[in-house]
Amino acid sequence: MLTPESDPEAPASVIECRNLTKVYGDRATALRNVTLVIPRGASFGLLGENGAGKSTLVRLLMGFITPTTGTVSLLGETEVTRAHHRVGYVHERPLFEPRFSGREHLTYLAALSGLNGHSAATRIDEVLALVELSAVAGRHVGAYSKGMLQRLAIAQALLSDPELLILDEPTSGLDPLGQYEVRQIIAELHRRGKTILLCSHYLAEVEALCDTVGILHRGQLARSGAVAELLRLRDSVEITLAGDVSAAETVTRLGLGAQVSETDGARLHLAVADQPAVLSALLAAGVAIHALTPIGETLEDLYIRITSAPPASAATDEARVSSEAGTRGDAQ
Amino acid sequence: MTTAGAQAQTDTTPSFFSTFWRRADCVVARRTLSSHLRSGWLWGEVAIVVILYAAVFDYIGDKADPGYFYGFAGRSLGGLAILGTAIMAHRAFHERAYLPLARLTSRAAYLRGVALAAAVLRIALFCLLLALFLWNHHLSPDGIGAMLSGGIGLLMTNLVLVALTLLLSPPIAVRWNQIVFLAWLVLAIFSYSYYGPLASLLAIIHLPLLPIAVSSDLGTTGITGLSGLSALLCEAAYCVVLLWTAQWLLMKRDLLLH
Repeated sequence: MLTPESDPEAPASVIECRNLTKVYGDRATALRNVTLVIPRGASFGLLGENGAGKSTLVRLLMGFITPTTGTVSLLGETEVTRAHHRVGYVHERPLFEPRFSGREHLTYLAALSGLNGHSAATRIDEVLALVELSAVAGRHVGAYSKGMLQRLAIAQALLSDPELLILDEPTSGLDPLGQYEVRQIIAELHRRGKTILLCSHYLAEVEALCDTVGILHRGQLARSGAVAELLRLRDSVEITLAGDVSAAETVTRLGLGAQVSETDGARLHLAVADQPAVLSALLAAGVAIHALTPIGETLEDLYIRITSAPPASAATDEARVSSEAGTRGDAQ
Repeated sequence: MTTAGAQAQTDTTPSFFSTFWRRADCVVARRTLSSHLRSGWLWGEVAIVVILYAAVFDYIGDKADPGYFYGFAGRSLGGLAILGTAIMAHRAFHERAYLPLARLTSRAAYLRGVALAAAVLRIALFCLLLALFLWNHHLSPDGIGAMLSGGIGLLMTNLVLVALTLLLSPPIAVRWNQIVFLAWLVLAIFSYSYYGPLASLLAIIHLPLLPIAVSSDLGTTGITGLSGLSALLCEAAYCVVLLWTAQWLLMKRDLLLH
């Protein structure tokens, strides 16, 4: 099997959606004019509230449903089912029949991927070891915990050593330890060069695991790009005073109330423009400074800002944002 | 991580049987039957066949009467074919089907696998009933022909019912498909007992049922003949057309499985 690196013919983009719209039979528009390009080797996080269209996008990518308008290309295949043997898919819920063992499930799914006999057994052992389920592989999955089921779901996705992994809510419903374990596996797979599309509700998870993100809001791709680019810095800084000093008292004593927007213990927040004046005043008064930190926006801030935007503005932004996302993807 | 594809190529060249055994549709069929077995539905069907035998065929006397056997077996195994296939299709197109479908390059292979499993089960259940019947009843040489032709007719009819049930199962068929079929069936059955001014027109409606009616009589008459062969060929054609239509519809559908 060719690895992405060794195949000169491999397309640069792994997922490419152009003006993708999906309207279900009951006239519910699940996706509107989404343009998205995910380059090879990327770890892309797809965020969005319930009903934002994440699952619809995944179903379109997997060929379970067809777009109303627009095009989808997966690993260079416009008929996406043709790329199935190169894609690992984890559904939003573990879909295993409880009366079969983990190994039986993997044997069945491996056979559908063309793996049989000794090669299948070897590969199954490998993926079971990777997700640390070797010890319970012979047990019926009805006796598995949610975390074990989720790890089995990841194991089956890895059977054919896919180039692309589509993970739909892989840590949903897991306890913190289970989430940690699954995240470790995903991070390891990304390190091994897999392209990953991760749909998740968990912002911290996406921030930790993904280098690029897209935020779906009411069926539209409201924002997409590199995490570092999207989380632009705010125009403010935080000064932490050294020692057991109250920032509020210092501000009052030095008459800096007009410049300092907020104080909290030994920390004070102020606009970047006021930074020279405040620093000069503090140094002149002999106040020791422990740290000066620029205040950045978190993914949560960005997400809340986008998803709480009124629908009208989101609609007018749609063309600009989707074209922006596409251009950015092309550039990559 | 070892590349799985390269390892697969190192396996020994498979024979025809192992090639068939490893085909995606055969893999799906094996899994479908295994799932039907472990869920208990298969045992339920076996129990129904045994109860049917005990209730209807375990009569006093040891003479095997093909006409009597197929008179009851045709209807009861036909009903069981519809019920069992509907259950099998319902379970096969559960949300769990996303995992195998995510590995197949065509949904048709999955459908063929389910159809193959249903067909194999129909044949096995017929063989079970026949074995029970012949175990306890003596078949005279005169009755062998009727037994054989009746068996072929019954199995062909059962296979048509399997294909039809699959075609009418969600997500392959949508509600209006099922309603149109049921409306046609009601009209076709009604036309058999209608002698009014539209009788000749209504008779056209039940024409598609004629091969099934002829095929069902094969066990009673024991004569295949030209009409019997035509009926069997028609039923084979029905199976092909119904399955082809089911595949075509399944390829078109948005799969929103629950």
